[in-house]
Amino acid sequence: MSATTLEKPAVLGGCWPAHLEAVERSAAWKRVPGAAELRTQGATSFRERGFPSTDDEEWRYTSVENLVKVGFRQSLEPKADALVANTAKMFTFGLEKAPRLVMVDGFFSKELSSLGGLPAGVIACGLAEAMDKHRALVEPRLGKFAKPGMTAFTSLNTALFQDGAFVHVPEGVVVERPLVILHLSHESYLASHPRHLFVLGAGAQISLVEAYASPSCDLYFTNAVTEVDLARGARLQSVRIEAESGNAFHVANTQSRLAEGSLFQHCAAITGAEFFRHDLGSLLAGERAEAQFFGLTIASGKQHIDHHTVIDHAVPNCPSREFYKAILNGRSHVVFNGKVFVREDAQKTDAKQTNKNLLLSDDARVDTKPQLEIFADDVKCTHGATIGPLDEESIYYCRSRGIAPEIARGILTYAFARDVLQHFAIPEVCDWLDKSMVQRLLDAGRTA
Amino acid sequence: MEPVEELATKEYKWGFVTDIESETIAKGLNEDVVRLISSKKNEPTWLLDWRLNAFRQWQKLKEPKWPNVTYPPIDYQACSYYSAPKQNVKKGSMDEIDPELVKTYEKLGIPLDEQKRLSNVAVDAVFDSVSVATTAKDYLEKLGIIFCSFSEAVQKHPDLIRKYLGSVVPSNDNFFASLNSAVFSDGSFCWIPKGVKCPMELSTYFRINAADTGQFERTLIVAEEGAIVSYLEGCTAPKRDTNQLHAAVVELVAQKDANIKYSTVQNWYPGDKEGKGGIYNFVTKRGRCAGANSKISWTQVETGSAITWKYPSVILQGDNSVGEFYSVAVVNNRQQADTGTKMIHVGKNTRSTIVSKGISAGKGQNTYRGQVKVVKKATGARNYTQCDSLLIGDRCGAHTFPYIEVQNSSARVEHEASTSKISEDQIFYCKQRGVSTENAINMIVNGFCKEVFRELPMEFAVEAQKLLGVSLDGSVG
Repeated sequence: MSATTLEKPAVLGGCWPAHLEAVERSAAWKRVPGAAELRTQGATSFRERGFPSTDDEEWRYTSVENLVKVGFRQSLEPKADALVANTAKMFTFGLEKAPRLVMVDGFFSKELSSLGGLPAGVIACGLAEAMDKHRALVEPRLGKFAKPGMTAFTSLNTALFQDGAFVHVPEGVVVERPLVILHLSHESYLASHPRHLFVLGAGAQISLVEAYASPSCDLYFTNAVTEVDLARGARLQSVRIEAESGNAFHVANTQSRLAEGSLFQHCAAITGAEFFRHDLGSLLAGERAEAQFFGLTIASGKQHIDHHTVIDHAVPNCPSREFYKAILNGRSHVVFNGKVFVREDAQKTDAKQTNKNLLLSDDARVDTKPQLEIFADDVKCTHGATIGPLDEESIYYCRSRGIAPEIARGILTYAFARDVLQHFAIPEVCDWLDKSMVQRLLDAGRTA
Repeated sequence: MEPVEELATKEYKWGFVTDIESETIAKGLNEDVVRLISSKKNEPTWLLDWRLNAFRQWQKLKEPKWPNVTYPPIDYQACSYYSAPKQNVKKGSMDEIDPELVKTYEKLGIPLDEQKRLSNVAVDAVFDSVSVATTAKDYLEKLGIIFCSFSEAVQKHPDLIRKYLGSVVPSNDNFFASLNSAVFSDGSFCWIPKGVKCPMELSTYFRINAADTGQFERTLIVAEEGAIVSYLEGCTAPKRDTNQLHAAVVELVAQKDANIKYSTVQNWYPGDKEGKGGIYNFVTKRGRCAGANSKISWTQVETGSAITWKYPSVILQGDNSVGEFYSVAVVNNRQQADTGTKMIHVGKNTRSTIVSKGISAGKGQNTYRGQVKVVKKATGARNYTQCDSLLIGDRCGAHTFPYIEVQNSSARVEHEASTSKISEDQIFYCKQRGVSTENAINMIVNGFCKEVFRELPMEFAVEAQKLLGVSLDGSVG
């Protein structure tokens, strides 16, 4: 369905107009060189449209009301302290020795990052620095995939971002070791708008861990936008780890363009954040380009987790896979909206989408909307969605073999999760996730 | 895929116009028109008030823009809201009906003559805005079944109408339902008393004849405790260059242990190859399983209309109630369809099944839009949804928009969808065995729709298969 235009007056939200004005006046507006025009577009678009309401089809199940009414602060200058350095060390995700790019509250931190060991020619740095030093790489791409007016949050990010991660792997270079991009949130009531750009040349390969974490249980807001450009035959495998504070708001938009024969794999493990919304999109722009999205959500308490994916098959002969699973406990609410577009002439498209939800609590709620829009005939497109509790027969099977019911439920819940986890790209991260989640899942099964 | 495209284009054979003198009120819509329609029907004051209330609400509502269809804005003042064939004041028996009308229905294959009537089917024939004949009435009356035109029911059974009218689709439900509530002209009413199994199929045949009119009929079916009824609906219209609006409302109420089966073969004029003319079919159909163990089943075969916008739904209110939706929707040339269902699980241990088959050909756009909702207190709800699309040709589109909303952990909801095309292998296989391309395609398409067709009553199933062949002719590529 085409984007619904809001006829209502724009909901601008308490603190945001002030943030925009402050940034426009400050030196931060020009902090990222050459982005002024883009920022103006973002600010204008936000002022015109404001925040979406649940009347907007794309936000039907996700109300931003609680987010909008919080008075966030914004930070226009980076700062560092010893505490942050220590917490940064805590989050390794099973990759102790891997190169790391660390960001604190939306700013790249050179001191905390360790970028040695990357092959020659590979660039990994802050976006502000990249705009200065590698302008030819950044300028043609920034704001081109995640357009300034795409969503209200992308508009805000475009107007307000200060820094982010920039990774460039030149043509033919294969990076063997995964690169960790860690975004730490450290201050309560702070809104940060990290902006990432990953560019891979023809045949280049890299694995990334994009992690968002906080050592605290603070309330803060992370509004991330990631743009990915893959040239011919490039392969990017990424794992997104959401380990935000249980009170945090996290909104993200990841948009990618895939040239001929390239592969973009995106695996998301979501456990943190009280409010999470991720718009993930891939434009399959060249033949035989492949997008693979995997997602595992473990929600409890009052968490609201919303995955919105769009795979746009613009050319023939492209496969795409989506596999999302969610386990719900407490009063959590999980939303999945997966769109697959098959454009005219995009023949021989092979698109498969699966969404499975396990309900462990009576107060949990799932809204899922798998959506296919097909304009070509020689295609193979399927989607499937299931929602339900654990299978009583499977529990009975375990019990008949002497396994206590609560343990049986734990095992079955774990097996449900493992099914999607095994597809995750980086083995070390996969093991780490497995270990860190086992206990949680066994517990989740038990409390059910 | 060339051989498949060679099929000849068959004409829409129901496209003739009956030359009959009719009484049509002036174009335009305002409160006076609503009053005029009401007075022509000699309606009681409460019904006029109900209409006026609906009209005032309609003025406040906005035409929905969310369906996945495009059409130029409709001028609601440019069409006439009432048209009736002029005939003798009161038809005492079938003999008194204008022979032109009888001929029209005979041509459509619906003999109104009691002697020649379709075996075991009672028909209510609606021509433009009014019901012209209802067959087998006396026989049904003996069983206590009321089956008559809506206008007649308003006169003879006002209490029942007052009790159930708008109880499933309120007059402010949506834009088109409100419009219908204000200006509905006729339709069928059916009431099955407690414990009675209706011995024959009840049927309404809708025919739009007059130009520049809209058809706004209202059907109300009530099955009391333990009653069982099967109902058929058919429709056609002449070929015209202009678009005509058809905004109907169908309400079904199933009390405890009751069972209603509602089948539709929708064959309104779909417009020509370039998309000129055709009916805008914007219909609200909803059933309420009010009592425990009740069942409502919708089966639809949608082949006609330039634009179809309808979602036959079931509110599963009673415990252990069952809702079903079986649909085949075909779009060819420039037809657009946005159709599906809603299953609202409210009672305990409610079950619903959705089987939707969409076929797109030519430049047709076919959308399945369905909602499965399990509210918090609906423990033990079960839903199975399957929606398949078949694409014929590379300029058509198939879309699915399923909304699945679950708030109860004991619910089991499954949704499956697939999209495929008629493969050259399949056709080659058939041809190898001496089956012509045309027959091969018919066979494959019918096989694709089999799950839905077998839900249709016998006579309709045969009709539907034939219709499907005609609808797809000249498109298969």
